[in-house]
Amino acid sequence: MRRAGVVAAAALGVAAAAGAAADESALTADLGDRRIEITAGFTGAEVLLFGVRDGAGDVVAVLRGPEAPAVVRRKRRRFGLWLNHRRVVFDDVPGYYAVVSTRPLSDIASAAALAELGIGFGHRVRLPGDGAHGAEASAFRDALARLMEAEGRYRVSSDGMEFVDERLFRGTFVLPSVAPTGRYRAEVLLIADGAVAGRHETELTVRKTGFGAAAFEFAHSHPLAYGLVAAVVALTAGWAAAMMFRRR
Amino acid sequence: MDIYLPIAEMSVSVLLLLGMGIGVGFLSGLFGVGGGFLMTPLLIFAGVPPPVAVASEANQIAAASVSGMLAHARRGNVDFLMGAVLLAGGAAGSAAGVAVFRELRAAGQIDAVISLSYMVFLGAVGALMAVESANAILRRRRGAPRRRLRQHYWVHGLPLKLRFRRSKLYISAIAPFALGAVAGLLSAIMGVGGGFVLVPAMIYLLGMSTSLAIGTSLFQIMFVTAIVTVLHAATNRTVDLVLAMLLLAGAAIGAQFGSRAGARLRGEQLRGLLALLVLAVCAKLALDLAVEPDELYSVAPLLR
Repeated sequence: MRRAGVVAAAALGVAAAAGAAADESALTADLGDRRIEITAGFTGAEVLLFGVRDGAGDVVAVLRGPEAPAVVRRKRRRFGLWLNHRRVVFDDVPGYYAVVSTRPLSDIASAAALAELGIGFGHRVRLPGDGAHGAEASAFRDALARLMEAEGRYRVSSDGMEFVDERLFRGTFVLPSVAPTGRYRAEVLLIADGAVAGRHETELTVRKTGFGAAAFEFAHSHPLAYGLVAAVVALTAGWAAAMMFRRR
Repeated sequence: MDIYLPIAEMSVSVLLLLGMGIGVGFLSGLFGVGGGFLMTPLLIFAGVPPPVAVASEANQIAAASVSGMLAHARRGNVDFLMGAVLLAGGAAGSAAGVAVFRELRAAGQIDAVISLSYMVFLGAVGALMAVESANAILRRRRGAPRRRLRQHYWVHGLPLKLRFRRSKLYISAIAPFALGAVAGLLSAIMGVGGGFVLVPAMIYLLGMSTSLAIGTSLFQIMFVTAIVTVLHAATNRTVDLVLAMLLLAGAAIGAQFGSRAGARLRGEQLRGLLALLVLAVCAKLALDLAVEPDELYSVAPLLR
């Protein structure tokens, strides 16, 4: 784990000034880190979020990873074995989805209001198709949330964010080692009496660096060449090992 | 200390991987087996996605079989013509295997098929080895004669006869081609060299001598696993070179100790032990498939 602490105080001063200057927004915020790099020793990272509110209300922040289609499968016993059976494809599943708030979401706004704002996994990941199998698809979506939660890729918490004083707030997003690469969007909302009083958006990039990144990039952009290199490297390494251990 | 595997996209303990490499390498040195049939299930038990485990282990075997192949070639234990025919079959079999692998993966059934293949083969090989080593122990006690090796089967009489000088055989090329294809198929789907099928079949079906069968099978395995590596990388993008090289490092060390230990221990008891180990891995795989899992759902990226 590494902590992205940077020059929070200086940045806050700037953020506060920017917030004051901003026209209608009663809120401004920023991330402690705009770029997370996945290296060979990457075991996860914490991303600090901080900001200033101008006026009363609760702060809710959503960090959302790049979206991609995902297949959720359910096992069923067949011939005495547990095999994958039914599947549901979800079109736009964020590879990471975390919500932190200064109070539990249910205390901040009604379910309908949260749905309208698209806050919460169920409101973000749409059920596929015409909804004919609504109940079943929704069970698959619950399972998807559960699986992602187990990997640390989905999290909703009210302890992740707190007010430092009347105006200043800070929160932490935890990225797991399996955090997908790509562009993450952070949306910070000030919600007073169930309505949005301020909004601020910012971005975060997660990318692989070093040898791992190069290998992954190469393996996906030139798969055949990567395979040939892998085979040649293996044969050469095997030959080198044979020479090293050859009995004299 | 953890290392991030770039293709598996996960962090794994370096010590765990090296330890597994050393352990399986020790066994392979001890018994003179490739070890893929133990390593792939172990990787799966360790949480590596089965498709990555299979493809990366094939890559590791390509590396691991080089030293054995060179040693056998120096001693004249490789029938290159036989090896070429087996390899041609192996190329065809592995191409088919990788294509089937891709379809099964898209259908979400590849994990189960890998486990089932392992159950069938480990179960059969483990049982055969257990029976064989029990018989060998009994035979040694009774002092009964060994049975005759060379027999003629109908497969030898098929067309396309070739003269394999080194093996002193004049048989149809179709038999070794088909045998190579089966091994290639297993290699692509299970991430093994296939020596446990090749060697007995080359001895009992084709009628080769044991040392030639082992040397020639290593020649075939080295090239077929290299082909499997390329095909899996190109089709499924599942070859993790970092994983393969870490396992190789461990296996190279382990094999040295294994072969030294093997020289001092008696064969039948060792084979009996290996049989038990193989059956244990088989049982664990069977249990994982037969017992209701805690989580019935799984998620995967949509493959196109």
